[in-house]
Amino acid sequence: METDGVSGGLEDVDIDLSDETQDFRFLAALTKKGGSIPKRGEKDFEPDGTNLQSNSLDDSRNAMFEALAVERMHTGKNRVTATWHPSRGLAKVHTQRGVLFKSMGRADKFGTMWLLPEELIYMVERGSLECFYEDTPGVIDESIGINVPMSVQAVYAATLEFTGGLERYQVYANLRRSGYVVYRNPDGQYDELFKTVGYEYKPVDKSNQGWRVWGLVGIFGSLFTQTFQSGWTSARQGDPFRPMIPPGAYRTYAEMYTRLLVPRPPAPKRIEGDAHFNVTFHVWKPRPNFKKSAPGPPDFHVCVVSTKDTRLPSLLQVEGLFGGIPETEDSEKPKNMFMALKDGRRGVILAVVDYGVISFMKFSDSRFMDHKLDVDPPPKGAKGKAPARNFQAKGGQGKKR
Amino acid sequence: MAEASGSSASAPGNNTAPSTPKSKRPNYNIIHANPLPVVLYHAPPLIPHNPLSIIHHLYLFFFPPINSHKIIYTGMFSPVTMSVEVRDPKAVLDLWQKGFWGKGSLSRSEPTWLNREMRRLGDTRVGETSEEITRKRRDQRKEMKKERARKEKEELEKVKEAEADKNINGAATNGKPIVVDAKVVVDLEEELNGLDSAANQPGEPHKLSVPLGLPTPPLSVTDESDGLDLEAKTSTSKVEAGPVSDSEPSAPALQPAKVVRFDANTTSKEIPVEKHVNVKEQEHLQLTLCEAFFLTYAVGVLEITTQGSSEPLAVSKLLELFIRHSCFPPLPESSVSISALNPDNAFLINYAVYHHFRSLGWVVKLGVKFSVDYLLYKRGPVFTHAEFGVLIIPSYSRWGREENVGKEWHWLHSITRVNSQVKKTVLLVYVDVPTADDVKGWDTKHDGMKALLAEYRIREVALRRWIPGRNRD
Amino acid sequence: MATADGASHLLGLRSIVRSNLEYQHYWTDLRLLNTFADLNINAQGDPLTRPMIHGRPPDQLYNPEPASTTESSSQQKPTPEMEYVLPVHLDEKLTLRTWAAVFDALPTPPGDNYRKKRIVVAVISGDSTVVYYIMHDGIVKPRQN
Repeated sequence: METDGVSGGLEDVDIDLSDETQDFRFLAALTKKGGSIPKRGEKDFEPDGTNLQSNSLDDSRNAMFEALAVERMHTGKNRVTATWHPSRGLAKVHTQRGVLFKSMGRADKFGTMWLLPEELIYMVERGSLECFYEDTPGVIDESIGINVPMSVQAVYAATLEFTGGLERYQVYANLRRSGYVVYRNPDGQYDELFKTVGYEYKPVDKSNQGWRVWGLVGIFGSLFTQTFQSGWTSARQGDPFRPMIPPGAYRTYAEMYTRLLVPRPPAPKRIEGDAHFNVTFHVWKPRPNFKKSAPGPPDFHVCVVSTKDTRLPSLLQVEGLFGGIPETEDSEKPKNMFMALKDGRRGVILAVVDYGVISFMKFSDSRFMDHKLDVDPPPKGAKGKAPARNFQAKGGQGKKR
Repeated sequence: MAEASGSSASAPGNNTAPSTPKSKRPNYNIIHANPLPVVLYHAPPLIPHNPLSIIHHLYLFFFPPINSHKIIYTGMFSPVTMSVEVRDPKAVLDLWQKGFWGKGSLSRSEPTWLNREMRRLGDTRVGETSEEITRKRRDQRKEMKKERARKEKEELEKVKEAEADKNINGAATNGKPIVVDAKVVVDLEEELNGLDSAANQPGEPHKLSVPLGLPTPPLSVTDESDGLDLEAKTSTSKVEAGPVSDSEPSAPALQPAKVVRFDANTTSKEIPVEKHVNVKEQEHLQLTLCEAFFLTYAVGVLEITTQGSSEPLAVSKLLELFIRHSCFPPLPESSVSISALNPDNAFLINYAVYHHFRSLGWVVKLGVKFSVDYLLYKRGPVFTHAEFGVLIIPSYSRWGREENVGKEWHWLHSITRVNSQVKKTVLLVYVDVPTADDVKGWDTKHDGMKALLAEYRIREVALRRWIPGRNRD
Repeated sequence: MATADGASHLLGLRSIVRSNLEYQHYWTDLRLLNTFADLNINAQGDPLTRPMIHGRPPDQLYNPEPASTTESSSQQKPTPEMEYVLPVHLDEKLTLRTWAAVFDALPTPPGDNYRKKRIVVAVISGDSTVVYYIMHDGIVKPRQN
């Protein structure tokens, strides 16, 4: 029944075109007039000696050169300028223009718009903004400031360290280009302006609700003593290996499974933050009516890590990550059990950057304890597959909080 | 497994499974109705106007009959396979049917080797097994790939020819694009994918479009002393035609009617041919150490002996034995002490996870084929595909060990890649391992084993690839 | 029964794989390899670092250049080549040294630029599953189809 690894049936959702090596003919076809997007075809296996193959390789290579050779310039009308203030680690915008400011930057109480370094690099790189060095007093006349424009390289050199590292900028730019609204996690910001947010982002301290299940330990315990126990088991009091299901009369399998449960105390909670595993960005899906003053709770929490200095997070690091994220409300919970287990009550997206290649992985707090499967046979007369009923063991414990 | 249509119901020796006469597909809801090899107690019907019945009921209510553990099965620990082997056919069948315990040592899951072997040798009483269906699918795929390679080669020749012509004719055909028939290849690709997705439908009966019945191989009587005891009732030459007739009750449902007619026309004189073969069973049901310990300690329906002794081992001895044999090569005798237990051992960590998911109702199987530790099935492998692949991540927060000693990211990427191709979700199961001090004295406490297990704290994290382009709504 | 002596457990692994090859996968001409002399008549009888199996699969295993892509599949198949099988346990930690020792002991295949030395690694796990991997001593051309 398993397809032992070799399967062509990739789920649509798992195909990511960005995984493929870029064929620049796509781009050339778009920029040329009347060009159409070539269809994705078979990949070539090896050089086959045909002109057809070598010609298309040449075409693709030339298309890449053409694309790279295009001169990038600012259009006069929408020229936006800003000044980089290294002391503050922010860029001051002179005049706001364009749609990007709807979801970028933040204005102080004087109405001056400030950009974070990643916002600045992003805008400079796509040619939407020109950045200048801070006015330096002129040598001859103190009153005349000299405005020196910054090259793209200069912007990178001057501001990258303020972004928290290249990996963070790469993830920021990737998400922005995909259309998302991205702001920094307000925790631990160096500038007061970006510490204040207009939405609730921290979990209401119902601290680690999932583990409350264990409050029911008492119920399980009482079940043990309450049910009819045979003389055989009482003779084995004090036995460390007393069978969990002693011989007896059981009317349902759920009754037996309840006895198999091992109550566990909550896993240790991490108190202090971690250097690597913490929420870097708050991310919102693109929406036309987005207001940066009142964005509402973020759709995703993204943690940027680099393969250079991290490995798979430890239990404590995972606990720490989840600890900072609010849980979804009961009403928003998916109805389907598998979906509920896969999405969990909260999740964090890890953006793992491996020398420029970003893989996004969603880590979800699954809590299998909250979803016991049905163990008793489906009602008589059921044909074929049993209806996908919802778990909630007959005993019914372990659900309520 | 899902393709096991007919397999469990058709074994001649142990044909206890109810087979429905109408459909060839057995009713798995009935065969696998019990999730544990333990018997439920059903109160007799109450007759309200009969005082005796009421008294009887009251009596039963307070003193119900102790009948849950009717059968205690026996397995033997094997130091060679480092597992527990069950050979009694009744026990093998029960343990598989009631909770999917173990695996046939020569099969992919349910023990079907005997059936396969009998069919291979031409026994007409045995139905098709899941392994055969898989094999057919793979053969088909192989043929498809061959065909694709042929088409690709043809296309390449065509292009080369055209280009050669162009060189000769010069300007005559210059500028004319060479048309490549990529469609053929794509079609084949789709067909291949179709094969896979068809195989992925667990509930669907298998309709194979291409009649690729396995030819019955000629009988090889080379190794009679080595377990094969052939005893054909009819001459072998007739059997080679692939004896399938309409009247044969256990004829595989998959044989297309066309083939049957063909046989009837050409070999009508020989049909129905009945052939019986005796094969010595070479297969056993193999329980992993975790399965065996669960059945013995938690459920209490299994006794385990060792070679050269019929006396079942005490659970404490069993634990010791299993801890020693949970690594390779195994730890020497008397290197493991129950009272001075080191909780950081592979058996207890694996068992804590195994027990955790079993107790929540999942059927837990080893996942080595998918590069994970466990696979989790809802209800069991004949009903659904495994939805989750479990990776056990031991964690040492109580040991004061330094952080960031986890696995590398590329390790995780390769595993999620493999599992997304078979539509499974990878589950990281963190196990917070207690220290020796945390569990000290557990073996003197009442229910100490349970308390010991409780010290292994478990947290599940589901992994999913997240693609920016597909989460914008 | 032997104690926890590594060698006896390796022989145990081999007996599992041998039976698996014979009964589940219908290999033939199975022969157990214990010493260098079993691999090469001219060699000394020193024991191999790991006991192995020599045998013939029912169908030709992995072959990067399928011989007969053009001819019809129903033609008579050539006899499959013999293979060397190395049993290992899933929980074993193997090093490059282990692999190198195994490959070094093997005779060079005939016509050596056609084929790299290769073994079939049989990985045994606790539920009796044996997973087989083909391992080459070096880089080989991948299969196109």
